[in-house]
Amino acid sequence: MKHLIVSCAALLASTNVCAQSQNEWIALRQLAASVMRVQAIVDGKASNASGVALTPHKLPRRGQVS
Amino acid sequence: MPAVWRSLPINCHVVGRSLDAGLMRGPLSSPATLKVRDARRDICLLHVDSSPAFTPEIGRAETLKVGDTVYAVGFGVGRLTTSVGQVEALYPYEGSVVVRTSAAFPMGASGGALFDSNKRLVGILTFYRHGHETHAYYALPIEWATQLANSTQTLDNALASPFWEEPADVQPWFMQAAGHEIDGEWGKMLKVTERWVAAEPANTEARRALELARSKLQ
Repeated sequence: MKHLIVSCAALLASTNVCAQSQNEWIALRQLAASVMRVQAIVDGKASNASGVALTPHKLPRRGQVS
Repeated sequence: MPAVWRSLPINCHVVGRSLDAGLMRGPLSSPATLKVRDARRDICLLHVDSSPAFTPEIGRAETLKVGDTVYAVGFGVGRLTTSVGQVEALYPYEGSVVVRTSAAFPMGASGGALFDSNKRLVGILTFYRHGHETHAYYALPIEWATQLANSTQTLDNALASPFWEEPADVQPWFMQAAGHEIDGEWGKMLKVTERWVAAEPANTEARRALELARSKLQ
C-alpha cells in the first residue's frame, strides 16, 4: 500500500489521473513512455498535440537532437 | 522496409497545412515531416527517422468490446495526462470502428494513444463532446492509420473537414445520436435513431441507442 501511495504521488506529478491499483499504475507508466508531444506551426502559431509511433525506432542518446 | 516502420499517426486538424512538425519527449526531440494526409478521417502520417519515445505493440480497435478497460495517454494542456476508463460504444464506420470511451482526455491530447487492457495501441485520441448530461470521448481506430501507412494512393482531400466537424445534420448517424444523448435531448435522439436503425438495421449500436432513447422517454 505504501508503494502504491508513493507511486500515485509520483504519477500525479506528471499526470492528472491516479491509477486505482499498483498494476494499473505500472501499466500507465509503461504506456506513457510511448507517447510524445508533437508541435507544428499552423498559421504562424504553435499547435500542440500528441503522437505515438507505430513501429520500433532506435532511441537517440539522451539529449540528442536528430 | 514498409512505410509503416517510420510512421507516426496524428490528427490532421492539429497540423493544418503544415508539412513539418517536431516531436518531443523529455529532453529528446526529433523532426518529422508530413507524409500522407486523409483529412476527412482526420488521420495524417508523419515520417520520422528517429522517435524520441518507445513504440507500443499495435492492436486492433475491432477486437474491443463495450465495457473493456482502456487507457488514454496524451500530452494535454502542456503536460502528460493519463486516464483509465471503459469502452462505452463501438461505432462501425468506414471499415472499422470509432471508439467512444469514458477515459477522459483534454484539449491538446489529440493524436494521443488509446490502449487496451493488454497495453496494445488500439486508437488515436481525437475529439470529445461535453454535453449537458454527460461527456463523450472518441478515438479513431488504429486500423485507419495502418491502412493509410500501407496505402500507395495519394489522397486529395487536404481541404476536407474531418467527419466529426461537419454540420450536425450531415454527420454520421452515430455522431448525431450521441450528440443528442450527451445533451439529454431524448426526443431528438429518438427521431435520429429511428432513421439510423432504418438505414443500418444490423447495427447493434443503432438499436442500443434507439432503445435508450425510448426508455428515457417513457
